[in-house]
Amino acid sequence: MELNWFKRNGIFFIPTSLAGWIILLAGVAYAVYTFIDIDSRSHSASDTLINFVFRLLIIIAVYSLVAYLTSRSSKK
Amino acid sequence: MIMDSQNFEDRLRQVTKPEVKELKHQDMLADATAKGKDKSVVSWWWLIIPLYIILTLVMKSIYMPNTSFISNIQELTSKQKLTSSIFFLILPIIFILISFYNIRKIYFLSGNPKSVIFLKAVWLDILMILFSILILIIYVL
Repeated sequence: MELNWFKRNGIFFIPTSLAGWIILLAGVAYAVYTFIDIDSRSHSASDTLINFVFRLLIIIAVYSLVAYLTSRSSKK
Repeated sequence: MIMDSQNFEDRLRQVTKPEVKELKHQDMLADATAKGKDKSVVSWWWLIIPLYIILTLVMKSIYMPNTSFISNIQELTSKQKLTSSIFFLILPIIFILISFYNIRKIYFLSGNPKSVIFLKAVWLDILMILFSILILIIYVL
């Protein structure tokens, strides 16, 4: 079964269905939660940003993997 | 009878061979190239993570006195054994294998391609291999 939840546009995967949008919104919500959590425990702005960017990259990487597995090929 | 045979000859001249504009392997090649690019995009996002860590360690070695990049890497690998082996060892090896497989597939499907055309199709995979090797070298140091 081929899922068409996302479509690749450059280096990003854009949602094309409700399931895709739910995954994107869940990712964004988790990123916001992570930012608030890190900010509450950090000692400076740079401390927050350094730790948050690392977590954000992991979230984006997982999102892109899920999107790749549930999207059609860009050729079709 | 003579008229009939002439008409037949005229009709024969008009009939042309059916043309196959796109060959099956060309379709497969285009499919392999598109899928390879999709895979490369995913791999890029995963490779950015160790590259980001390397960048932060470089910054640390510049701004923190009495520290060097090598010592920072060694500190990271000893303190975060699992995380560092995933991002600096396992992931790059997986991406090297995926990229090699993709290059091999495109090479065989394109059938003796010209080097420029072939390089255009696989440059992203080659770049991926180079970055993965760089990460592996830094990890081994």
